[in-house]
Amino acid sequence: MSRWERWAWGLATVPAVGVLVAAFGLPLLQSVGASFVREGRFTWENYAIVYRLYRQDVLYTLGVAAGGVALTFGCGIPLAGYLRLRAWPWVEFLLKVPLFVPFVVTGHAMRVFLQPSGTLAAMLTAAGILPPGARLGIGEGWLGLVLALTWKHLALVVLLLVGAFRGVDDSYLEAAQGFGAGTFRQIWAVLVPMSATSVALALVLTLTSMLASFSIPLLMSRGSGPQMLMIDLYYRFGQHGDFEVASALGVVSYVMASGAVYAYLRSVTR
Amino acid sequence: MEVRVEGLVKRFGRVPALAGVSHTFPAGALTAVVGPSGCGKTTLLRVLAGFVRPDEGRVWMDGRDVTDLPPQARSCALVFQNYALWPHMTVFENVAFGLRLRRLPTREVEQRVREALALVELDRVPGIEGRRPRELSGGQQQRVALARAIAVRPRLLLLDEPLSNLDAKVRHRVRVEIRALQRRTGITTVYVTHDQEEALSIADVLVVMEGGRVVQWGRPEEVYARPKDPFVAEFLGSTNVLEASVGRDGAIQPSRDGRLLFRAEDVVLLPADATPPAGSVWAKGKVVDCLFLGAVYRAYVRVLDVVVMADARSPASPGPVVLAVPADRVMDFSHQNGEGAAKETA
Repeated sequence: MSRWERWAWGLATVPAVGVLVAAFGLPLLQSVGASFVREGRFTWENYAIVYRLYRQDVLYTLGVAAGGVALTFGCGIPLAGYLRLRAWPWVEFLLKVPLFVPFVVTGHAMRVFLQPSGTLAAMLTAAGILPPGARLGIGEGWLGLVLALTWKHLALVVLLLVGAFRGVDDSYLEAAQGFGAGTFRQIWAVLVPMSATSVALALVLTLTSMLASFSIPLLMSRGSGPQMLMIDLYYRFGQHGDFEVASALGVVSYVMASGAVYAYLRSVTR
Repeated sequence: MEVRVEGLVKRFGRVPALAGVSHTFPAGALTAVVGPSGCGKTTLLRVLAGFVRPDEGRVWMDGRDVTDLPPQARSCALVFQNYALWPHMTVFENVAFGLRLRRLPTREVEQRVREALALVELDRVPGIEGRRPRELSGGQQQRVALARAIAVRPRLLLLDEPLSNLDAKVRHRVRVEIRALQRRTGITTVYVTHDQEEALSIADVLVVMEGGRVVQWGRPEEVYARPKDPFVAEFLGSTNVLEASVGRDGAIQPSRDGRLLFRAEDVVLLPADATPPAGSVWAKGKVVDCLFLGAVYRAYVRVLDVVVMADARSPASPGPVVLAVPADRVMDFSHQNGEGAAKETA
């Protein structure tokens, strides 16, 4: 590549780098800086407030995201594996439906479905599993949130995994099948390890998306008890106008997401 | 284990990959199935393995109908063209995979992995068991694939173009090793290849396929020397084809209905003014080119407006020559549409 070409390519990347710096790098630096400032002075007080008021929410957010990821992949890997081994076009189509449903709609639908006297409760009552008038508590707690986030993310995860699994040549699966490996063994012993990079990437994308989920937790929350961190951040900034503590909450979110990204990078560069 | 297939038909869409294959693969023999790309040889192998279900026909193994049985219930192992070694597993884990699925005790698994690696002569490579496939040469990967297949002690070994990814020198060496391994173990083996030289050199029984059918089978020497079909004659060896017939004096003369086939190694080139030897079929021609192939020189001779090949120990100079072929080496397929053996012209 000539010097002129190098300059041309360098110039071509300027708009993209500019957008990245202006829209992500600078706000990130600004919020990191702001998280250490209160009344114009350097301080750790914002983090002390985060620890005092929000440490439960940090754990709650991590727990919900981890539970959501576990459930999403616990369902997504077998589903994607089955779709790779046996083509089921209709199931594949149905699984993609949640991709086209906005987060807000998902949140509302899941709220209606899971709320104490919602659709699920009515179905269970009709089936005689719940006594008439009983209230179902799933929708109000972490389990409802995990189920809603799983429902929303499952389609993307299956889409990513099926794509990765289809990249594995049939001969690797047939070799295993010839030795007597059933469907489950072919998925776990061949497809998943041979698509490890894509599985790790899907896992990080899902985890960061769940950590940053806002509209679904907002629609499903009951207003008391632990909250997802993005809701805390919204209230701290929007309701209290406390930019500094909101920034500290943001930095905690960055750190949580960075942990997942670091684990992913370690797994792909090992 | 004797394997018999009868009336196998398999279509992919409208294309018939197998169009009524019937054949018996003898127990303990190495049968090479050879044919051009798309002739159905890999499909036949995959039907035997149980990965493809035939639309029609049956497969018997030792007299037992296995047509509807899944691959794992057939006591056979397949070595794939790309070896299909799982890249995330070590050599040991690859070879042990089938044994572990059979729930053998750990000690027996270890012993049988070592035996299998010894059979393919990989036991002499230090630390091979702990290496991953990407850390092995092509030849070593091929042997690991073989070891993985024989570790489960199959009664039928299926090899799908196992040497096609190796360079020429390694291919020749591994070919000899596969032959020796098959003789040692006595496993009934079906070896699919498009390489006629490989098939001829390795097989006890040669099966030639074309268009989804078996066109001829027999001992390699027999099939090579007495092809029953113009396709077999053309496919095996470096074969010349002339639309011609043989006159009373042995001269080759153009004929629209005639079809003469002879191999490059049977051709003798004589000076232009020489008298052709008695009992030979001959024609006047002109050497247009000559290439050095290593063991022989290959001359290209224009005869009856067709360029034919002639192999010789010494180079041929461009110019007029007399091309002579012993009459019993000329295959006359005149007035024949692929049925019956070639008529010798002598």
